[in-house]
Amino acid sequence: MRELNLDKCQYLTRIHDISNLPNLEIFSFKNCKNLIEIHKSVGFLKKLEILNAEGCSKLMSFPPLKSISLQELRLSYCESLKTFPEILGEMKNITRIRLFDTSIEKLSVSFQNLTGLLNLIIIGNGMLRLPSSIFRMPALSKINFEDCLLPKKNDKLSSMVFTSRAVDIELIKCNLSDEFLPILVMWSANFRPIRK
Amino acid sequence: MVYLSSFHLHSALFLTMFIFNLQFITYTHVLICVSFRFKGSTEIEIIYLEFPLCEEKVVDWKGDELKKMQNLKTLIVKNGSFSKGPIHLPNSIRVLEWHKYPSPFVPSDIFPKKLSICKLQQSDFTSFELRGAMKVSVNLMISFLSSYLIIINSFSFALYFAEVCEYERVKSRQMSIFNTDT
Repeated sequence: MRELNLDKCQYLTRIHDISNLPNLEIFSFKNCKNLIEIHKSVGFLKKLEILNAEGCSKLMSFPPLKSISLQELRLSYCESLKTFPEILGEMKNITRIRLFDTSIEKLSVSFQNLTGLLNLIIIGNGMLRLPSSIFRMPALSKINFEDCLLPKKNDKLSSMVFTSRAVDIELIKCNLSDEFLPILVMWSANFRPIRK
Repeated sequence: MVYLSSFHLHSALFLTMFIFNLQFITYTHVLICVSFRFKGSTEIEIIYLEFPLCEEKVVDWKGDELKKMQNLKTLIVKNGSFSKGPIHLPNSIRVLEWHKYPSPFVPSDIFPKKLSICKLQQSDFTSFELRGAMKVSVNLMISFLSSYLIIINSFSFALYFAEVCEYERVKSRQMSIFNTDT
């Protein structure tokens, strides 16, 4: 099977083991409002290119991902989702991540394994603390953060070498402080406008 | 790739109406011309059923009517209400798209092994699992049906025919990448 679509199945609470579908390329179960559990096999589909779980509002966790072919990961509007899935190993085919209206409070260190990420758009809930490692992701060129918390200022942050190729950054309601601003300016040799 | 001749189209439409006790006619007001004898359900490769959203009638069927269609490759059902889910799906099916699938469970023991696209949106499943996905028992039977329908509204038919052709044109591009693996 190449494509499986279970969108808007309002009574669906669990997705069980689908390891018997190794050729799956597109898996969508968006707007399954009562989905609470996804089997870990979903994260290990080697040929999976599109994984769409948008709008699964009761989903609190997502299994780790090791789908090297994955190009699209959609988790927006998963309002109860508290953690971004762990990325097990390098996944370089995802170029854009959009996270709108989730309860994610932290992006794990393994987020850096999305080495092909060009565009990162996050509209948070005022709780999401951005890790400084985001600003070192090599391919990231466009960043849009709204209602997020910037990394805590410390010596490590001040001495950090900024390696991102980011040319466009937008920070809206991100508690940009006077002390953090110089650090950001230091990093932002290639940046286009900064809006506070 | 599925090739559907005009003969097959006629056959598909006719058999579809036959299965669902001709309710298809009343639902869609598509009045069909078939001026030749029907050759049998094994000719059917595509069934496309789209009911009006306002239609509230329930299609009463046994659920095993698809069993005889050993060449059915595409089954698309939109917006319809059925008395029960299918008891059998032909092993030949590559594309299954059934909005509001009429059963609270996935027919795990009858899933065709060549199925490539499976879309079951807005269905009433509580969990999804394909334990027996590859275990399909196909009991092939050939049935011969015969009947005639008369041209009543050729314009409606022409419109429907054009829609089916357009669908087939789009779908054929999609299906050209199919192979027989799962």
